[in-house]
Amino acid sequence: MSAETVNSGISEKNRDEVADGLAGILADTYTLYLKTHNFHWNVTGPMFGSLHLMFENQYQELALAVDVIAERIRALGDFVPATFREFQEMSEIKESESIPKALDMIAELVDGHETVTRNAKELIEKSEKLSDQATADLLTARLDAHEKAAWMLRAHLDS
Amino acid sequence: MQIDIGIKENDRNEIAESLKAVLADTYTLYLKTHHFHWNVTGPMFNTLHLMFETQYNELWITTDEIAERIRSLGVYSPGTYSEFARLTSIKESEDVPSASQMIKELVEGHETCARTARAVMSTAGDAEDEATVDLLTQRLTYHEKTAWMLRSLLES
Repeated sequence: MSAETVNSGISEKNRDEVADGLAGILADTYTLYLKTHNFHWNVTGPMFGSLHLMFENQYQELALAVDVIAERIRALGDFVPATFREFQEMSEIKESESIPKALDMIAELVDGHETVTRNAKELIEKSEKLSDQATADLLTARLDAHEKAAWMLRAHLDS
Repeated sequence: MQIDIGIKENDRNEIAESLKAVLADTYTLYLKTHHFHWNVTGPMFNTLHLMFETQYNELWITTDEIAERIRSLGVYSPGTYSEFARLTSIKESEDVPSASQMIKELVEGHETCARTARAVMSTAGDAEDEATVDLLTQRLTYHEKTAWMLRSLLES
């Protein structure tokens, strides 16, 4: 059996279109996960305790989501991109080459969560149009997680 | 703030630099294993999908331990695709290999991790950095065991 033989009520063209969109969401999510893990390791300053732990909760949530998104791509019949190069090329989120200050880390992560939120919203609309309800549902759960994480991070930036 | 844990600064830096390579190998092998968990096909699908899951979880949890050991030695940890790609001796697979080719690539990856870890042992031992020696010893045990399990699948 090959990818062509999937017969789940969504045309091959539509499955591919959604899977391609999901590959972008996967790359965004993966890049944001690694950035969060990086900051968990390298954060310093008076907020160390609180950020080291908060970043840990967040990178673990993102790492679990990565598996769910990738397996949805496979369920749609496509292979999953999963190399550093592909993630780097496909993600809209830029990596930080130096070690930012704690507050800049927070701002970068807010930005990352907002980026995934915007991209997921677009893909929800598209997958609903293409009658892929399972993908729309998965992405709706992702919106919830990203908007919540962005709020918690943002809360630290208020004085 | 100055670090005074009984290991000379030079030694701490040298060990941490070598641990960066161990981290990059482990991280690259973790992502390769996760990649194969997703993309494997064929009669061994279920066995391999599950076996790769157990393995990528172990490797991923370990990346955190290695990175935090680097931080404990006073050095920042690498944590980007480009740093990992530069520091690792393991090649990524750009296409989707056949199931048996995946197994071979993973055996090679575990063997590479074992060699990289072994190379740091004497430096860490000479510097009396027992905590790093202990961490690496556990890594060797794991990589050698996993390589054996994967290798077993290739025999007829």
